Amino acid sequence: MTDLERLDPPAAAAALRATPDGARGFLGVDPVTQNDMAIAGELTRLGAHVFRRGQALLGFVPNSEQPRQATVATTSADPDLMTEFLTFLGSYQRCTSYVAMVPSGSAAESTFNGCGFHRTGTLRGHRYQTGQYQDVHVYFATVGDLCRS
Amino acid sequence: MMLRGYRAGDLELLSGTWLSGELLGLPLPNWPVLAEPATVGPPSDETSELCVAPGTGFVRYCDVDWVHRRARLEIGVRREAVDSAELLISAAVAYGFRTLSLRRVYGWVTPATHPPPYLCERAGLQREATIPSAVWFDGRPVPREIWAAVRRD
Amino acid sequence: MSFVTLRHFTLDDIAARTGLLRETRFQANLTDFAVSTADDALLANQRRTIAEEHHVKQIFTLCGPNDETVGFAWITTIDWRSQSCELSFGVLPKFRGGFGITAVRAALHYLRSELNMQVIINQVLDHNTMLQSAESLAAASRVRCEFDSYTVGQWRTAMFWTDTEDDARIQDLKVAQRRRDLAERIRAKANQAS
Repeated sequence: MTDLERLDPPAAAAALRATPDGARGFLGVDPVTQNDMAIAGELTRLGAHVFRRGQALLGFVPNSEQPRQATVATTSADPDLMTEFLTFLGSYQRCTSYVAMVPSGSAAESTFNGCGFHRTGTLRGHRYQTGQYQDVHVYFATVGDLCRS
Repeated sequence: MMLRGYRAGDLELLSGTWLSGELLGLPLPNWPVLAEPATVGPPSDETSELCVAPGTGFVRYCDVDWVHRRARLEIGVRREAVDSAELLISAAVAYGFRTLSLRRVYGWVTPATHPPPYLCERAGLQREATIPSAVWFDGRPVPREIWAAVRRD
Repeated sequence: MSFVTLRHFTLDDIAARTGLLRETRFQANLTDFAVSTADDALLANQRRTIAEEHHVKQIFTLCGPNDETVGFAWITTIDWRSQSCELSFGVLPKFRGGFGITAVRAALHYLRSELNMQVIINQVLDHNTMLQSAESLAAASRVRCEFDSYTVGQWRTAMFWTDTEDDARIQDLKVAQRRRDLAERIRAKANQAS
């Protein structure tokens, strides 16, 4: 994945804002309710890493309690792109397992299903958006799951 | 049980031999001699609220999000106050709903620490998700569960 | 579909808002602090709001149908725990009278459905008709406070009222009823003509 461009937090915030709707909830930030400085600050606080590949944004936050695990997010619906990103994280961050938090009913559900993730639970009313509380599904995959997909 | 805001004199309540970040941090047996106790810092910004039950322990609401009206709960119980854990966790949920006006409180439960499951259930919390290998404990990665209570509006 | 949309205030918007803060009618109707504030201080003040005060104060740029800036809205006295805030508007001179109601509606909708605010507090000085007429102001006002503020050499009276979720629901019902009445009149006219 040589054409992966790393974005610093201000550039990541601007890129997320330029992505219509798909960026809402990306690693927990939201361009609709937060200005760019707030998003950059939150990405820094989380220790998030954000990359651009073509039109898509991909990101991860290392699990500070277990450095071989990362929470990942994408603005793209393409499962192959995510698989490629996870392979990159396996190679360069030595990640062996991955977690994704996906709002119920969002397009990202099929993305994560499509690259070997499985659902391990549902967080009830975890987000408020467009006047409603919505559930968030927790997805999980190990490196082994990805190989089988 | 009443919670009140943290004051500088409550510092000793903020550390103990529990697994860091746990929803209900109970003192663990066989704490390694050379290991530092788990410690949370005094409140530093608007993303957390810190309360104490004097003599019993602390309750911290982390990652407070006012748009989504939720917070992640961390509780630490003093060794001599373990019998009050049930009252403390119930008080923590009630304080989150009534005083902070949150709609959802959630937190990490690590089965490998053998927490009594009924404590969370009696406080109105439910298990929502399991994340395998989520935390390093006792020399290996172990699963962690997310437990939550949602306010009935 | 609203003709006005909101977006977050950015560094590029500061010049337009500074111009508005220095405008005579704005000063009489809202606040005249910009007269005695230096350019550098006004700039620094707005930069600080963007960078550091998101939690306590937020400014939004109001955009018209072609994405042009028509004015600004801002929320202050944000009480996240109580889900309430105070909402203010400043419309650029050339757009006054054109976007008042839609701007208010767009802002209230955003505060409710995205920021999860339940009670929105409005304060308008009683001679301020930049956004709404004296009649609608008098109808909305619930509290009248004399000697509220001193702007451009005069004491001003302020009107206060709140917008709650119930108010929003009633407003939506009224709008729907007006649409139905209008459709009914058009149908009746069409039937007469045929």
